[in-house]
Amino acid sequence: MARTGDSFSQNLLQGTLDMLVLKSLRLGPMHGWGIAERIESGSRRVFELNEGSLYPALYRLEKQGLLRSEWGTSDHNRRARFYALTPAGRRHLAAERANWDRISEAVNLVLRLSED
Amino acid sequence: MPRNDRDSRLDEEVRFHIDMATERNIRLGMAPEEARRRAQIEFGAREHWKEEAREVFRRPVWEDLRKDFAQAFRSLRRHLGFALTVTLTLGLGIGASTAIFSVVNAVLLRPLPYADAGRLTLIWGDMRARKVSDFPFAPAPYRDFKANNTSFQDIAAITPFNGGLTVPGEEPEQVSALGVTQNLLPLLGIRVAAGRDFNDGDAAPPPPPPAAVPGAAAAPPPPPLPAMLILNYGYWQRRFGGDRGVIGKTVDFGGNPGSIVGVLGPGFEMLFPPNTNIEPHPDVLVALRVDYERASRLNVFMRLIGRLKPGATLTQARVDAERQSAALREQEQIFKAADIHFRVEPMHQDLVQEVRPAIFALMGAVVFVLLIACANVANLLLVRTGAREQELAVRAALGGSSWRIVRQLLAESLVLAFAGALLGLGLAWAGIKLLVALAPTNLPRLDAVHIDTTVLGYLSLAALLSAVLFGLAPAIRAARPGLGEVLRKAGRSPGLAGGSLLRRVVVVAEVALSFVLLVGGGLMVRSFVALAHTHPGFEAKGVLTFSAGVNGQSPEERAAHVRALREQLAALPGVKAVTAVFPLPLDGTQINSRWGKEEAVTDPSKFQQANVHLVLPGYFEVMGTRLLAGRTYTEADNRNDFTGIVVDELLARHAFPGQSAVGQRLYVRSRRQVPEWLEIIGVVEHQRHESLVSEGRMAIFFLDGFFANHGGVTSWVVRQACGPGTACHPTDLAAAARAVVKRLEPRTPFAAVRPMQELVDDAMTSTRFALILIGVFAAIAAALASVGLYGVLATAVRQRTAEIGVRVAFGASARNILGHVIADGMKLCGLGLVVGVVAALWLTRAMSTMLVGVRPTDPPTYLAIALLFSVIAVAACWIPARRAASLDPTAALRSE
Repeated sequence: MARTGDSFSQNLLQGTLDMLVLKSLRLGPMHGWGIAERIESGSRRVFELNEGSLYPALYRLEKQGLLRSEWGTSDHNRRARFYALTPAGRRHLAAERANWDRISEAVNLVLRLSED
Repeated sequence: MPRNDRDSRLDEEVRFHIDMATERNIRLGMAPEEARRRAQIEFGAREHWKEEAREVFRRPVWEDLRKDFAQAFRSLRRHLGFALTVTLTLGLGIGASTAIFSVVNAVLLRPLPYADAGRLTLIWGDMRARKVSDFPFAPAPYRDFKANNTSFQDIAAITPFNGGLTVPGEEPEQVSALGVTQNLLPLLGIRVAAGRDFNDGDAAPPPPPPAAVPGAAAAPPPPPLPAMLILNYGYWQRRFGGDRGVIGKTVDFGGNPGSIVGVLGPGFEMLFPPNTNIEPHPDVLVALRVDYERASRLNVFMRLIGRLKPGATLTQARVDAERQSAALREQEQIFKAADIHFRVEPMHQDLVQEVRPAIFALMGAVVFVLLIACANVANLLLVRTGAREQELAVRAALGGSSWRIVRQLLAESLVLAFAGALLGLGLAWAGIKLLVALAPTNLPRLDAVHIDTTVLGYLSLAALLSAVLFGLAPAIRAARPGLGEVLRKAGRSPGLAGGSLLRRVVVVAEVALSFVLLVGGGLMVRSFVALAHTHPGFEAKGVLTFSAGVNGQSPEERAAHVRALREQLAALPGVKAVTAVFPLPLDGTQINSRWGKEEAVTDPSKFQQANVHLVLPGYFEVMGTRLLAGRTYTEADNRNDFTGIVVDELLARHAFPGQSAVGQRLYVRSRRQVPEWLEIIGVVEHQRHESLVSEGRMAIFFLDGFFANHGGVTSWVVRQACGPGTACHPTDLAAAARAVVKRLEPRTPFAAVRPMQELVDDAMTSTRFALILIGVFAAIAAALASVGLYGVLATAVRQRTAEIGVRVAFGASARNILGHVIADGMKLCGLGLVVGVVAALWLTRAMSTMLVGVRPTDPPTYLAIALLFSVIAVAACWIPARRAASLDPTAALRSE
């Protein structure tokens, strides 16, 4: 099962999206739309979230036990599915977070080195 | 979560999302329709991601498996050559072992075709004082044993014979008959398909002849009771076309009336060890009419089958049998003199005793072939895993778990094993046909060999275990932690030391295993050559044999018939000489007599057993059996009161070591109850009678006339007039001989027509069978081992290209390199041979009963096979070595 370059970057982005979703839910339970809003505004609109890929990510994270979901009522008094972090999700986020810091630090280091 | 709930949840979430986006767009100043359209576009192709989201829900275990297998198929299709090599290798291994397993299954594992066959036993008499085992019973001891034992539910007796059966108005026909006590079929749990089983009346003994009253005229003998017959299914179909009307019919059976009372269904077999000459598919069963009171206690002809009582153990039965025979040893002279003990054996075990070692040896051989095939496949997979190290490392780095990678490789192994199993099934099917065609007749239950669920189970198990065996090593290696190293060293690694060590061990094992098989094959070749050069004690070439008895009321009349038949046959064109004998050498029939010297007169335990042949004068000359001392029989000797005998060299040497046997006297019990003194007039060379493989028992030859009644010689020997240089076609004489027999003896069946050479060939069947099978397996094994050796060296050369380049650059000649690589291969080969010799010394012991004139440790065979293998190994090393030697150093160094 040789992964092509494309699927590799997809992998990377998927991992990133997962991390962003988890991060956005640290503020509290939220529905899909709200999560998209939080990520986009949080990244100062650097990330143009492909909204279609958000829900598969949510479902996947829920299946992995990092999220749980239930029906609730939105600000506009509409029924919406609310997602929340599970304890496992919290731990996962912390680990991913540390990992990310290390990698980005290393990448920065390399970039700075090569600039010399 | 049910699919509908899932879909409606999805739909609702999407609707909510798009509504929110639409509202935002409206807030941003868009027209409502435009706002919704934009929201939808932003969201993307709804159906596409919905499918993706659903995927997340339904990915249970089987989904992963499906992916693994699909992946495996794709991967193997890309490497078709590899996949085909592996499939062929596995197919050979699995097919060969399945074919042999089907024999094991039919002969050793499947229960006998009788009701509750586990409780059936065979009962034998052993004459310990004369070192004769497997002796039959006389009627009275059988009756006593049956009446007095405590551990048998019932005991039946059988005895085989050939009889002439004549349907009124038709030609006589020789049939194989099985005389049985009336309790045989119930004891075996077999019912007749039509008519009735035997009853006690069918077995009633004939009335005793009226006592002779002195002076009165002899009363006419009472009319003989009819022989009651049950036809076997095959004979009934063949001879009577399955006509139920035959039941109740009367036929002529051996000169007496015979009455058909029933017909057996298909599938009846009377299984008995081959040395008892009991035909497994007799044409007719005959109810034995035995007068137990009057029957001779010395006339032993009954073979016993006993059914143990429920709960009775074999040990109890043996104690019981020993007690019975001990009582008889107290009462009866013959039991005491010969020290007769009764022996009880489980029927199934006893039946296969003779062939069990051969079957086990073969099963061992094919398991070896399968192991070698697995080793080879493991080797090929290791080579491939080596080549895929980087791919696997990348996948591991991308988060493919070790488990996932192991699963992936195991899936490939399973796909390969499945393909191998399919091919193996086909090969096994063809192999079984070949086996049945080649197999010797002493292989019991051969017609039961076929592919059934047990065999299929074995095949699946073999395939599965092979997959684990050959798939696990590469998988474990691939999943090993530390793959990061591979990535770092990419392209620079000379292969992983661990992997190449493993490959080398595998090759050493292959060489050792195939060496064992080759030694086995070599020993069989030597046995076969020895057997082919065995002089049977007669000249088989150009001899036609057939059986035909003569009819006649008195001894004189029968003697005249024998003479007439011989003269008429000898007068046929193309016939050089004619004689007759009974039994014919190698025909499987045995009769025997006791003989002793002076001391046997007072001590009957000094008697010894010898084979007996009835012959006509001129027998030795016609058969081409050499006279060693004294003289052979003449026409004048062929009478009742002539007391000279001809013995074979074995008996002469045994009885009179170091002196001339001619003129010596032997104390022989043969034609009468009491022994008599007979004088040896001649010594002839020994004829192989029981088998070609072993020398067999010593023999005494009596003239036909010695037994007062003449006509005992029923096997005719017709030698064709063909010179030593010309080809002989003895079967050409059959039609003319048949016409003579029909004219002179219209009531006699003309049967068992075959060239003498055929009997000799048949005696070699077992050895030929073992030779062909072991030879084929050894050839497969050697081919696989050399492929394995080639594979390892080729990989080593490829991985060491740079090193070799450096060596060449520093001045190593092509010869050096060639020698270096070949030496590397020969080191492996040599190690394998050492292991193989040790294994062969230990394992070939299992073959000792199949060997003729050669011991399992025969040094020349080992040496020759080791040399042969070394040549094969050099050939296998040659191609990679040539490649290494012809490397261009600059190109080799650049390959880094």
